[in-house]
Amino acid sequence: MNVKFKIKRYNPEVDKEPHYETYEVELEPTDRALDGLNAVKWKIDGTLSYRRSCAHGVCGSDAMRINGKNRLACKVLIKDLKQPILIEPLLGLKVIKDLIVDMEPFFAKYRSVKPFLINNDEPGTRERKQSQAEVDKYEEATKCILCASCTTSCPSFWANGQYLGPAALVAAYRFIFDTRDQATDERLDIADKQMGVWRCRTIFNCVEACPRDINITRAIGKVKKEIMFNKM
Amino acid sequence: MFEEIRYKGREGMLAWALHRFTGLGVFFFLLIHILEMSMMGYSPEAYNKALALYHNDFFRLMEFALGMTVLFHALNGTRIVLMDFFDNLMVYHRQMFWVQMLVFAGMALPAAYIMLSPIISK
Repeated sequence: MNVKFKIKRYNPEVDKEPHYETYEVELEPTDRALDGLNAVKWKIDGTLSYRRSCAHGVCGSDAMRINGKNRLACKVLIKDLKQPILIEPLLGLKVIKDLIVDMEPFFAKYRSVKPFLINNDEPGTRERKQSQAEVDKYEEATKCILCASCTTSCPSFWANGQYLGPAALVAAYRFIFDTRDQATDERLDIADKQMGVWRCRTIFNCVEACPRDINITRAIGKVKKEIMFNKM
Repeated sequence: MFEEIRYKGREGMLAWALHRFTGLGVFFFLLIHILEMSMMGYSPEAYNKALALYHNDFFRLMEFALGMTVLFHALNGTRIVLMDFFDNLMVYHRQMFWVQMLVFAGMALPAAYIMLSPIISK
């Protein structure tokens, strides 16, 4: 089938302002939006720039705004999209070229919550055991692939780029509720700061955008409760 | 700024936007309200004059709008507080929004009948 794409283009070396270009390509209804972008790049305009790596919804490279909302281009089928398919870069992060945004501020926030196990006990020779109930507490949050769909869909983040954002807070949640971790108070302190959990306005854009179906707002809510009832 | 407004959020984003608008609405009403109450400091006549302004159809309509603004803001705030304390509810956040709108309609319609029928029957 003939598919129309309207793509937001911006090359800082040539363009003063971003602009939209329309392309038409032949695709199967069961192809994905990413296949469409590849068809444009490989057959029509090789200068079109976007990130993609695994192309199977695992690496989280190709998050972008598709028909107005954040999706992974490799997870959404052409037949499910209204034409012309509007493709734009993520909001709230600086556009480097076309659909490529500067992810560094996003990763810096992720690093700021110390997204690694902190446990000062002797590791011993065996694994650190947990019950299924203990794993269930945080398992959902381990599914995050850091695609930034959530953070860049969040109006609080658009309004204030300093806000840690949903993805970093999910990473904090993942360790706060892990019984093996010993830095709970430290992470709760980070989340309790001015740019932490309290900037969440319970809007649920992050939940709608997450390609891994993590209930991020709920995770942030649980951290809020933890700060309120266990830290104070 | 306009790009952000074009973002296609769902019920949660709609509720948040309305919460902000209604919050601003209530804030501006309070400004007018303080102004009108402060007329009392000048003279009883000035205050009565200010209040007399409210006795026309336009202000009745605006009073109804104010009532609806406060009602939405209060119901939405209650929904958020409930979800904050009972996070299991966050799984059903879309449904909760529509329940909230049902409650809103259930309270708004009788209020509309009582507050607006004097204008309509004129």
